[in-house]
Amino acid sequence: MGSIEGWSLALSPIKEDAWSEADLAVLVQAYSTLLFRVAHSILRNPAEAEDVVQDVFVRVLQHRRSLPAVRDLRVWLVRIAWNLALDRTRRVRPEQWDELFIESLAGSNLPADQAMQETQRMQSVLRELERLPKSERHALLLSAIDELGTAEIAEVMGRSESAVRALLFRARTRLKERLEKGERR
Amino acid sequence: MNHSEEAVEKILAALRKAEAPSDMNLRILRMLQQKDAIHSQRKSAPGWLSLSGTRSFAFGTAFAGLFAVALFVPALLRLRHHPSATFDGSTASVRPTQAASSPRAQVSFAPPVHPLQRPKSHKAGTARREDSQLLETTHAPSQPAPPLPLTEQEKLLIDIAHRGDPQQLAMLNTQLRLQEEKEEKAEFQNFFEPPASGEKQ
Repeated sequence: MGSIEGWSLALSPIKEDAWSEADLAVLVQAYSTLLFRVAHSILRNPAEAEDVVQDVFVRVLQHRRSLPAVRDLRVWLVRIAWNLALDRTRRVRPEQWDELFIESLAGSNLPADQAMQETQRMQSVLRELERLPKSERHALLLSAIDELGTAEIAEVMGRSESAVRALLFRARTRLKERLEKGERR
Repeated sequence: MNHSEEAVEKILAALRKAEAPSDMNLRILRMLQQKDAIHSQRKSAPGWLSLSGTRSFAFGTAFAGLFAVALFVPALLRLRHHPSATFDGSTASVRPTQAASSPRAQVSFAPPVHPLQRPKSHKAGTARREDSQLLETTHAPSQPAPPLPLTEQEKLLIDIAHRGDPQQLAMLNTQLRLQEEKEEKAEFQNFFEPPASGEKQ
């Protein structure tokens, strides 16, 4: 990643014409998986997440003039992917993909009754996740991505690091309480 | 850790480990190549073809202007043809024979044509069309409709008014007329029916 950061810094003296396909290929290679995960955490559908990643790189292509001014390319790209994915949820509800997503998670070696219980539990987790306050949900979803530290999450969300930590704590506590309440019923 | 927490962790782990499709990068790069090619084509195209921002606005305005001119020119041409068809006192001539034969005077608005001068075919056609239009307007019922002819009583009243005979004019007053009738009746009765006392006398 260091080389990529260095490359992004080295962009400043480079003119737009010098932005070669090889540079773009390096950028795609370096960040596509991270951006895919960011989009997937919101949309929970691989095809939709891939569309978001494509859109991100289209934006990069469109704004290559302003790339030299970007301080942290990684966070900048994650923020674009995050916002595009959020924007997409206005048209595509992620809940509609939950069944497929859970199917991909459920263990195939479990007995039928246990598998059904597991599926129901995961459905309720996803349902409660969607019911969380927006900022708490966003903090929790971003924290699920290993590549992102608290500082980067804070930058993406436009909050302080301590605020992100508080949001994460509240999100987990609230989710746990609600799920336990649901189990007791 | 209970079942719910396990489920939460499982879901978060699944989101964490989500793997992008293997050929996603290839697809993205191909798409970017296409986009870039389109972009470079646009850049190499002449300036007026790449309509953006103020330029597109300027072209839009110019196009709207041309459209307005295209609408305006035929209207102007039509207006220029029109005055020849309007009534011109100097060229109008009343044909006495036709005027005598029909109750309505037929007015020809066509300009006098010299017998040796052969009018051009399209001009003659236009003139004929204009003549027929004018005749149609001439023969059309006038607006508002002409007044109805006077009744006999109205004619008599006008006659009395014109003569100015005071006795006849006075007779038009109902009260006076009734009074006179009364007096006449009384005179008649006095004349033909003398008082009974007189006979006795």
